[in-house]
Amino acid sequence: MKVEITTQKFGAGSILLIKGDVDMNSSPDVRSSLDEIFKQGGAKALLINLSGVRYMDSSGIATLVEAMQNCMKQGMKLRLVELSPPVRDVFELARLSSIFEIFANTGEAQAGL
Amino acid sequence: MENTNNIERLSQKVKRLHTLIEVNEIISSSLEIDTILENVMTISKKVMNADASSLMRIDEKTNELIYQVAQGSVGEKLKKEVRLKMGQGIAGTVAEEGKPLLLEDAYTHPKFFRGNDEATGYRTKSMITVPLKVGNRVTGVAQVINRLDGKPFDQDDLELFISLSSMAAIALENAKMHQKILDKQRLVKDMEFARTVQESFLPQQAPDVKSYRFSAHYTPALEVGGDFYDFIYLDQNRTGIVIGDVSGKGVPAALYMAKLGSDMRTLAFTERVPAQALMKLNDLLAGRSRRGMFATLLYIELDASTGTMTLSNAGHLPPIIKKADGSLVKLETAGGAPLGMLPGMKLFQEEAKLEPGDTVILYTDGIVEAMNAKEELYGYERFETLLKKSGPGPSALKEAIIADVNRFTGLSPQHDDMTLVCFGAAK
Repeated sequence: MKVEITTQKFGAGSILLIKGDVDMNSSPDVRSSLDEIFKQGGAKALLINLSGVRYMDSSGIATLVEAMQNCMKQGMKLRLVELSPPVRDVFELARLSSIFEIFANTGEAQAGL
Repeated sequence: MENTNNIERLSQKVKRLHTLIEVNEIISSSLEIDTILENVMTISKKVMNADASSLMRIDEKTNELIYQVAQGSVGEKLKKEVRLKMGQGIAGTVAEEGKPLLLEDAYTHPKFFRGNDEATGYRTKSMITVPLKVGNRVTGVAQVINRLDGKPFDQDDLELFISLSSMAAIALENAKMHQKILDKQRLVKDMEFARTVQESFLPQQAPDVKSYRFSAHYTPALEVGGDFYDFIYLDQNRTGIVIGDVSGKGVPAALYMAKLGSDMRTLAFTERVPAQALMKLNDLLAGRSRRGMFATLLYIELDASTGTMTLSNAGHLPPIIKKADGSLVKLETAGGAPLGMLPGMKLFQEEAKLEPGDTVILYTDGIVEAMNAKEELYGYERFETLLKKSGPGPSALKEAIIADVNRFTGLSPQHDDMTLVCFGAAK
């Protein structure tokens, strides 16, 4: 399964919804969708919904890390939303929860923005 | 009279057909593009009864036309000095539009550039310009100028020159493809070489530490990889043991790993304790971060005089100890997230005691996530079952793990780098 990416707008910025496998082959697609958002600029926050991600490898994580670093440069908040079980396992093993802000659902992630 | 004309036309057609066959033979005789095109244009000039002929290629870097072949009294001058942009002059127009153009008198065409004639003293009259095409893509243009009998070129000439030019286009494409194959072959050789260079970064022999044994295995999924391990001699009692995994695969991961490995070596000596070394390393990596690349890394300082290990784990898979009694302990050690993501990140460390007969197993995800043809993962369950029944000792354990993973994956291609380090205190 290839990756499917949709972007939605909300008051404080954008929500990126990723479905499928985020690996070495599909990460460049995620990266270019993120680039579009960063090019537009001016937003307060970027939410990435990972509920539909079946598999994520280290290239996928690197794409999220780059998004986090770009958000920091632009003064935006990056919030990861609804980690699917496979993504949660990867995050737990690599101890990534101290690096990213993670929320259970979009409502909680949008609160206080 | 009519018969004579017909016979003359027929014999001319036969002659032209012969020329096409001859050109075809030239094209298939060699891959030396300069010689082929020079010969094709020599024959074209002769059979078209033309005073000059030329062939221009599109320089893909600048999208300009440059002379590849220029035959005639001013050919050499043209080759050295002239470059045309798309749409510039007759050749540029034909290249842009992709359609052949027959001109009885070039000076009547608004795009004709007289500058070359003025500079060289040549007088261009009739000319045919044909695009060299591969499918719909134009790769150059071919041109013949001035019939030697003084008459303008006609439709028969145009048809023949289109045929000749289509052959030249094929020759040009063949040569390009050939060059691409050569480039690819060189790249394969370079990668094989890079692999041997990368292998030289790995420890060439196991450390010589009294009453301890070390054994390691490394196979990248591609020619080069981002996994690594190292043994660092700190002093007669202390040995640094490193295992790590850079995000991604192949060349970018290998380059990152090369720098990371040498930085780690330096910091192992300059920093007092493992967590401190990893925090410094994290700041170095985060400071030069590109494309979110990062590395998981586990650093252990082993003091052979006391059997104490000081461990700091930056997001790497937990080490497993196979105790002397055969039981397994997974060390969910202190540490933190992987290196290179966030500057200023705090990392922690803790101590563990190694008893005689214990073996420590360090590994990367290429081992536990090895995949078979049914896309099943090797997984922790198989790994731990095997660890329980194999050994004793680092070397036997390592051999058993690699053999079991290879048996499990069978002929499936290896999809990630695999690294394994086993060490322990002799009984």
